[in-house]
Amino acid sequence: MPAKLTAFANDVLGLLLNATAIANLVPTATGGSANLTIALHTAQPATDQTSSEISYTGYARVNTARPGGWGAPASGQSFAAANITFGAMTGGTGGTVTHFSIGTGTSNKLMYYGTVAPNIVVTSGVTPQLTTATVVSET
Amino acid sequence: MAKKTEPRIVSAAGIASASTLSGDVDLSTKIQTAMSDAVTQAIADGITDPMEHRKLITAAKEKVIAEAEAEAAAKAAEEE
Repeated sequence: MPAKLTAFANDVLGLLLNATAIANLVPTATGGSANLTIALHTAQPATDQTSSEISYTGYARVNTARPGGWGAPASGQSFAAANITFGAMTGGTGGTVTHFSIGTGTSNKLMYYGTVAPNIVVTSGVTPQLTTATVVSET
Repeated sequence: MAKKTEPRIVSAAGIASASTLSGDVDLSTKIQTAMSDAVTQAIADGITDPMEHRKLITAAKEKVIAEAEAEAAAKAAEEE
């Protein structure tokens, strides 16, 4: 079984996603990335946010503010505070989005990745969007 | 003549389950699969409200954890 209590899972999520200090452990959480970057992938990313990242005209990663981009963690999980909307496809190849990732915003460093349910088929005119049911869970 | 495409938003939920410190990768994978399946099934059932998806995601996670805890408890009892 996981050897981490839910309360501490909430602390970890709060620290990483929203720059919330952890009392007596990380007393100051400021000074890090002001934004996290959200990317879309056509397969499970293997290394960093460039790995299997979708490519089409109009696509760019979307920032979530840190703090504020993710809701207050509860039950060991944190949901997106708002819809995460990517640019509409106006050209290029597109593809099927199967995964998303969250990065630090620097050097393509990947923090979390997960599946996209259901997958999004990106063709011309499509604007991919991750809803407020988008979640990061810690166990 | 090229077919005209209508602009449209296609929405989905991103589901990430991690075991940053516990190292229980199997459990995280089970949780992520259960949460993803919950959203996919909800959409197939015509439920499109993300707030409803949140409830289903949370319930799916709690169910997997409860089953894992019960399994661990049963295993411990057997070993005694």
